[in-house]
Amino acid sequence: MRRHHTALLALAALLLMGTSHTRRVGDDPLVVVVSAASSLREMSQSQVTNIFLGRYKRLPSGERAFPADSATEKARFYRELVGKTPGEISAYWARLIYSGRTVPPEQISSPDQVIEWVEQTPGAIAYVPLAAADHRVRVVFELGKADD
Amino acid sequence: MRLGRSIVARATLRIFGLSAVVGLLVVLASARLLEGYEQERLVDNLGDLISAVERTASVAAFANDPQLASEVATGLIQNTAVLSARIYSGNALLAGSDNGRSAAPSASLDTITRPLHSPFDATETIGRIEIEPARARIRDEASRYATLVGMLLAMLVVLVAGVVAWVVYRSITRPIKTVADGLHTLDVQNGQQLRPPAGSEDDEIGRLVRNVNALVARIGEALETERALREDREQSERRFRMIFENAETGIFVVDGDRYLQSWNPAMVRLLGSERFQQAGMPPRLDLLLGVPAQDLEHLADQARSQNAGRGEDFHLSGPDAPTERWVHVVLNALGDGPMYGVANDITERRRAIATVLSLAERDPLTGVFNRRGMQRLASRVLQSADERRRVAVLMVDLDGFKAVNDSHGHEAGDKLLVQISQRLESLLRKSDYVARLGGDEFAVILTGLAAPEAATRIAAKLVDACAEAVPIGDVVLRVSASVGVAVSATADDVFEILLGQADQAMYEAKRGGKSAYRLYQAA
Repeated sequence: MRRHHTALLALAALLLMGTSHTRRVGDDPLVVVVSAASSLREMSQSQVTNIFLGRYKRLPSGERAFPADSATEKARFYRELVGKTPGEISAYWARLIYSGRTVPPEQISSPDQVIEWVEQTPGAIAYVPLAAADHRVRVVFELGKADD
Repeated sequence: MRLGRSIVARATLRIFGLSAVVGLLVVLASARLLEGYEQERLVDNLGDLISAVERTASVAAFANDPQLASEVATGLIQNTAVLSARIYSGNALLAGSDNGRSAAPSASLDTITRPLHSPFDATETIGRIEIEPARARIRDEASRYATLVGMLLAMLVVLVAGVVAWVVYRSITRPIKTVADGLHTLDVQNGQQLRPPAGSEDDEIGRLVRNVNALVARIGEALETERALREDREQSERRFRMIFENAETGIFVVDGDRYLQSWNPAMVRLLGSERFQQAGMPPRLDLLLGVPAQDLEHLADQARSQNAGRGEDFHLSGPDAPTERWVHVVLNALGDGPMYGVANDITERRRAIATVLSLAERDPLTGVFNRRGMQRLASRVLQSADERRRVAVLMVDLDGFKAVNDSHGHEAGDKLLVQISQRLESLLRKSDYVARLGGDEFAVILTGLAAPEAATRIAAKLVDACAEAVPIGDVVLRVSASVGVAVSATADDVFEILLGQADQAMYEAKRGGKSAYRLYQAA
């Protein structure tokens, strides 16, 4: 079942690659995922940005948002999302942490754990490579897509 | 010296006065300008201030974090130029801070507003930051700054003015004042020289002093020359005056109206002070000399026309003249009007000449006229002869005189001749003359005779007188005279002819027996 999905997604990725000029062959795009149980179907880049950088506390569906960073993909994610380095993102958070009102996303070490956490946590939102996304989560935004 | 007339005081006052005016203008203008600039600068600083906190404010606005926004706003109002600061997320006030110094309106014209962009998307505006500048404060600060700069400028102007005044005083006005004071007390006549003020030897003031010295030297030389000339002139004037005063010759200047303009003491001595007193003041030359004015005019005209000295003898006459005086006056023309003249007393010379002349006509032995005198007198009296005033010439020849000479000597003969001539003269009137023609020959001229008989009468008397004895010492001598008479009744007769006729008649008397007279009878 899982393999099947993987094959499908790979096919889809191949198809997408054909339409994208910015992505090289063999890249695995990062995707933003929510729980498969969520009513959320799709998000804009700005919605993703606002939630991950603490501006919006709630998802467009109305749930309280719990964003999580993936340790392995974090650098790539923010680069592709807002064009910032991890240092810049840390500096950004450092200002907000001081006030204590806004907290940065949860830090999760691997994509598998991310998936698990997203499945188990209502309102959770995170990002994984497309290849890692399975049935437990729903892809609501694919990075790099908006560039087209 | 009044203060305003001193170059030092005036230059210094002007420097300070002009500096004060210019300095005041500069200070006021620069203060105004500076105040404006400073206000702008302080307001611009607020922009920089906003830029400094913009990123943090953006984060706060992005994250809707009032705490962070409040931190930023509080930080902003620490700046004294900020009255209040507000941070908006969207249109909602996220945080506001007010330094409480004034109850500023929430938004005034002054308010500086800066839009806040998303930290992650520079194109997205997520809020704004507003700052209310503390205008009064900024104005105060700008004003203080401008005042400080103005005061510094004023001090600078005062210092520069002082330096300029000092330099001008040291290098221009004081040297000029020194020169002016030196010139004021300079003793030009003693050849004193100006010294250039110290430090100005080689500049224009030094040159001025050198030129002044050269000028002074020239003036001194000119004065010296003039003084020498004046002395020379005075000396020669004194000499001439001395000559004029001490001359023995009368010297005078007379104007065209014959009035004396000046005269020397000799002139007064010559003519006598009484004459001067009587001739008026100024004295008139014709009155002084006692001569007719036309005589003097004639002489003056001659001198003028010939442009040379013309002289004439004048016989001083007048009631007060004690003795006969003669004066020789020479007149010289001095241009058209006045004349100068010299006057000399020639009385003595005149007298001497007269004496010489009279001696020449006298017989030295007897003192009666000689032949020459006889001729002159006869010619004169013959001129006025006529029928009523006949002239007779008598030829008197002594008889026996040679014998007296031979027996008694020449000396006795001479004495006899003197006695005879005195005897002849004593018989004659004043208008008659006796002359000794030579040897024992005498001639007598009788004038104013009414008839020839008067002549023969006198001839008879003469014969008688000569026949009388003549005592010479203790000897008594005897001679006689033969007389010939010739009478003229007309002025046409000539003396020599009359004398010849008388001589002829005298010989007839001798031939007739001597001691007798004969009247010449024309043949």
